[in-house]
Amino acid sequence: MGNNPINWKARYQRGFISSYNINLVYQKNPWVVAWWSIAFPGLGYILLGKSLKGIIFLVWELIINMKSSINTAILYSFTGNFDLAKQVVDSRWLLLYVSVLIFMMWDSYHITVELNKISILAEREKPNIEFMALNSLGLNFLKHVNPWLIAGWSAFMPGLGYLYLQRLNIGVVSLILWISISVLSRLYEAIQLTAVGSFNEVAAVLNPQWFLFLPSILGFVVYGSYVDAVEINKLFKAEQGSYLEDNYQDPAFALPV
Amino acid sequence: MYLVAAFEHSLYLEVAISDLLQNGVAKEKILAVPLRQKALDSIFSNNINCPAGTSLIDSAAVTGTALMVLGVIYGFVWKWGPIIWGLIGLLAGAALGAFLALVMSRTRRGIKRPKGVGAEVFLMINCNANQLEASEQILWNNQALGVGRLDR
Repeated sequence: MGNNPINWKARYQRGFISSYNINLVYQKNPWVVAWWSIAFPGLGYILLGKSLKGIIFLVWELIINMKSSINTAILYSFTGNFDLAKQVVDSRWLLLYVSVLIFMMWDSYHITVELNKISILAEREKPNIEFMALNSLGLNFLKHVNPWLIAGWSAFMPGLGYLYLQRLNIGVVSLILWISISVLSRLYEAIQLTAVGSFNEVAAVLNPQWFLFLPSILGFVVYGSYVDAVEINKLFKAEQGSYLEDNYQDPAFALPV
Repeated sequence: MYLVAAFEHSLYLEVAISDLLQNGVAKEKILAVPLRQKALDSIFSNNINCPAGTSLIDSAAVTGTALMVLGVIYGFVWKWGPIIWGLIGLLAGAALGAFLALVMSRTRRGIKRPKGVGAEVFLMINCNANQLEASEQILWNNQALGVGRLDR
């Protein structure tokens, strides 16, 4: 970075790049973050860039939901089979779910409000981020990407969009979640049956307890990778602009006036 | 002689500057001015608890996911099955969310971002007459949006 090395630590930061991951701080609507925390607990934190906390709660959600059969109970309740819903749900585990779910919604809402302030302060300063980071295992660099292309890859296979964005930890977690849950729910067999028109067999082959996890994961990765791509583009431009200002605005430049 | 060029932010711009330096243009004879984008600043004027900018995809994703879950649930009962009803829910929900966000943004006054490709960096090169042709070619070869000559 020419005559202005980035070895000082900024108070407000809007991005961090390492050889295997890029993390971002940018403005979000706190209600949207709270919504993802409810749609699939843990996703709100992942959207905020708190990957480890998010992954811990993703695992928590999978365990509690499977143990208490919440997804199956939701299916029965919405289709009017209230007695079946009461039978299938396990109250030993269900009551554990409630307070943590509300906590996560509340927690991610308030973290977003605070991070929005930090984000505004950070955007007003010179971007404090390396252009590239590499070590013996890998390398990452800031690049300009097409957000719709990222959203498309995420829609075909959750995780691929994040991998293209060089966000390895969320990418791998999304891939593992999608592959294991789509196989356990028998999604791809159901797609094949739907494609050939055997509608009667579709509902029979699907496992609803697993299948009801999938819409939230799909919706999140498409949305999350798209908005991350938009912000990585902004960061790329800000970093390049700051590099050019530092290096190519010599006071000795003879202006034509 | 001066060359003035407009670029988008990309690594081509840095390659162009490097090529100019290799070609004998001195570093202090290159001036780069990154342009601040209007849309970026307008975010600050919004309420801190509800930033604008991505509200269209925000609400499309939220309602799309919500209606997809409902489509999947009722797909277990309805004829076409959970896959098709899930997709119908997703498309209908995303369209509904995007529509609502559009209606909301119409009622809220804001600065409109111009569409299409925009110049993001201006480059000005002070070069000798004998460097002019080569320098201009370097700019065009690296995806300059436009190049102008100034004879002073």
